[in-house]
Amino acid sequence: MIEDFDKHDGGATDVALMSLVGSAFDEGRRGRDAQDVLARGRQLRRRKRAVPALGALAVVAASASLALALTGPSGAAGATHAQAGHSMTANGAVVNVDNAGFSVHTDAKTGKVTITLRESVDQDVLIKQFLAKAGIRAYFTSTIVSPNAHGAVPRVMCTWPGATPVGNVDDVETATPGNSNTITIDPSKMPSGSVLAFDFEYLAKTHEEVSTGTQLLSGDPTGCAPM
Amino acid sequence: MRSRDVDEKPEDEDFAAFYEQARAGCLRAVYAAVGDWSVAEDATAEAFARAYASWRKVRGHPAPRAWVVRTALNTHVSWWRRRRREVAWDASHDAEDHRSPEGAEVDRSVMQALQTLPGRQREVVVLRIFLDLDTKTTARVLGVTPGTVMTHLSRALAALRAALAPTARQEPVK
Repeated sequence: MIEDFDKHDGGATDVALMSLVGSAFDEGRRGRDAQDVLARGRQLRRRKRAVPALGALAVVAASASLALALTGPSGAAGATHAQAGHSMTANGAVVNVDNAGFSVHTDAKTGKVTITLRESVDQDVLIKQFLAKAGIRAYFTSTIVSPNAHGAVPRVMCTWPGATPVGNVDDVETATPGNSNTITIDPSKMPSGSVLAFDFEYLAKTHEEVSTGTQLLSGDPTGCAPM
Repeated sequence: MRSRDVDEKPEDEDFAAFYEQARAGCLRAVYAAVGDWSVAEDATAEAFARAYASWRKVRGHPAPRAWVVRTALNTHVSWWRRRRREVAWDASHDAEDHRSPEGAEVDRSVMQALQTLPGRQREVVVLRIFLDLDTKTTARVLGVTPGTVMTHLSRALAALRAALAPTARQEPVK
């Protein structure tokens, strides 16, 4: 394979190159046990069967709120105001904020937003407001985790009531080498109307924060339901 | 409830056969895209679970393995504030790796090269090379035209060639 790679001036033929790339990572790993996957699949299937009933209720509730909002004394004006507010956040303003818990900085040239978290901010309303101003619709939640039999803390896979995953967060987010508290988000690459969900994971015993997961969602998440 | 359980049995067997046949390949493809075995295992398991939950739809898909990989990449969560405890878990996984030194070197070089590709090019590489899909099926899975797939693949191969050729030449000749 390597010899094929060297036979041609300027590098490999496409076939040799694809063969070399395709030979990588062949460690014989097989992933999770089938029973674990089936158990999780059954849980999702049950939830799926329950969704239509809940969805119908949600539609009725949403229609009722909308009717109230539009027929109330400040209905029409309120709706116009909300629209204007949404438009402003969607464009994204330049934000430069530093405080004890977090920093949010917009690069005026690229529009990218760098976020640094110095402490847990899942209860912080301010950071969400600043992120919204910078063009990032964010949702924060937290989950409690416990070490497994190996003493390691497994990561939480969330299903998101009220929302579904959309797009690949790696296309939007860039980690900062050597600084696990800082990421850079490109709001222009977020799918239209999407939410960047942050799940702050805490140890059950000590309430020490062990990790933060981010995921792109569409809809309005109301929490993380761990698998 | 009882009749539903009875109905689900052949479906379970059908899915279990698909899982056995596809699990390793899908995991490898997802790892190629995300670069972390632990994350790849989480995302692939979740994608297979979703495939099971929608099995009637997924088994009729032109490329069910590609459906799983695409779903895994879309459900992939970025754990960007990982703490030392979790890194230790990853290291224990690595300790189980029995690849030859040459194989490990190829893995490392290919992963480094893949990480430099833009997201869509990496997806095309994963589907075309790791899942061995043809251009037409890849295009269908990604919702783009075959021409777009060929353009992405051509650019990806050019970047991979540039990144891998020097490494490949340094490999000892067998």
